[in-house]
Amino acid sequence: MADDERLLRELADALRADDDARDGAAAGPDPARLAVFRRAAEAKAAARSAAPASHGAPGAPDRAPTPGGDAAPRRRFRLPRLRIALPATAAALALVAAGLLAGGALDGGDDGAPRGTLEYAGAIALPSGADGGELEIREIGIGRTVDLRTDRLPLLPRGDYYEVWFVGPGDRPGRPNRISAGTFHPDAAGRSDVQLKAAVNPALLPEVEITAEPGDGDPRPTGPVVMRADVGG
Amino acid sequence: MSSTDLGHEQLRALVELARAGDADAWEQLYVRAHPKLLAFARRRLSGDAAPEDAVLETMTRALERIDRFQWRDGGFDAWLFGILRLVVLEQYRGDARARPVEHLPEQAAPADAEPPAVAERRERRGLLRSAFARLGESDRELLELRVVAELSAEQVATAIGRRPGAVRMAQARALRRLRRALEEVDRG
Repeated sequence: MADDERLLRELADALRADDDARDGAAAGPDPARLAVFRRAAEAKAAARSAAPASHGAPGAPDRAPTPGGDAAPRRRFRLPRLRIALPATAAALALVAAGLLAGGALDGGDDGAPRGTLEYAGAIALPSGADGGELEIREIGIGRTVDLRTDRLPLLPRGDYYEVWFVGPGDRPGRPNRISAGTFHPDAAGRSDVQLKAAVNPALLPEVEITAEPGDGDPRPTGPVVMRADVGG
Repeated sequence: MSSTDLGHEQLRALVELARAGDADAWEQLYVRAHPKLLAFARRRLSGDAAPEDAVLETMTRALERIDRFQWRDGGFDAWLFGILRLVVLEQYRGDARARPVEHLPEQAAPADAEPPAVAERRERRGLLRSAFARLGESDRELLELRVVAELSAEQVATAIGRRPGAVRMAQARALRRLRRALEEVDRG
């Protein structure tokens, strides 16, 4: 046992020296990221102070701590994928702040019926410009729901998938300015009728793209764009 | 992040302030947690931005879920590392290139540049790192949670969702394998 403790101490010393040599001693949090976090904390605080009006509402979700800690409750917001540009993160969090301030209970209904304000309803185009399907986007307070209906997307090889993106100005491979709204597959008959949710603001990321992605584990958009719509209004 | 910077009661008070919606408390928690979270993330994610992003994601999820945090088992730090561990695993799943960082052996200093005891210690550290690199992923993760994150066995148990006894046994097995690997690299 004492030998184990000694070996652990030696290992700590070895790894720490390695880390310090490679990365340098941590100089404190990155100010930009800390500022993003601070805004999220302030948004949550503002939402909390505005909460009494919605807390007792009939059908409002119970926010009390759940026995067992992390067991279940649904997520209210989430940062976009890691490695997507920080400005996109800040934009998403600003949206979160706005959504939280607008007052809770804005998630979609448990019965699956869409709620919120319809912001876009129209066609999404194939690369040829022809109609590829229908796209609807609704503002739901914490972000947007995206409803896509199409039978124009071919089945993909096993492991591949389609991915829906909100794309902003200046997006390019080395400097992404986009947020993924999620992935999907057509059903066996080639129909895609999906609803996705994303903490995005189409005013900031006004183009929706659907890409066909290889199942290679790379989270970046590497496949071809198969449909596109301008939803920024 | 263990208890050197804040006593248990101070940490508890700070977390409760944060839970009540105090943004200053959240910022203090972020600053306090950052060095250890980043050290662990840096060992598990390559690149400059990914570890910092992982820390931000971890703290944002903590902010989102604080109402569900309960004072038991490993406490707040173990809870944070449990979140960070999931963030890292998600990154592995989402990005085939995101993988534990390869650590190169320490460069040897010229023989006459340092006292023998220092040179010996340097050599021992190099051997240990080489041996550590030969361990399996789960052994490395567990030991990094112990010595980089500086979590106790009980806290590691909370972070990885196992019983403390199972963690102690896994740690003993990992250290056995580390000794074996150390002998192998020592023999060259």
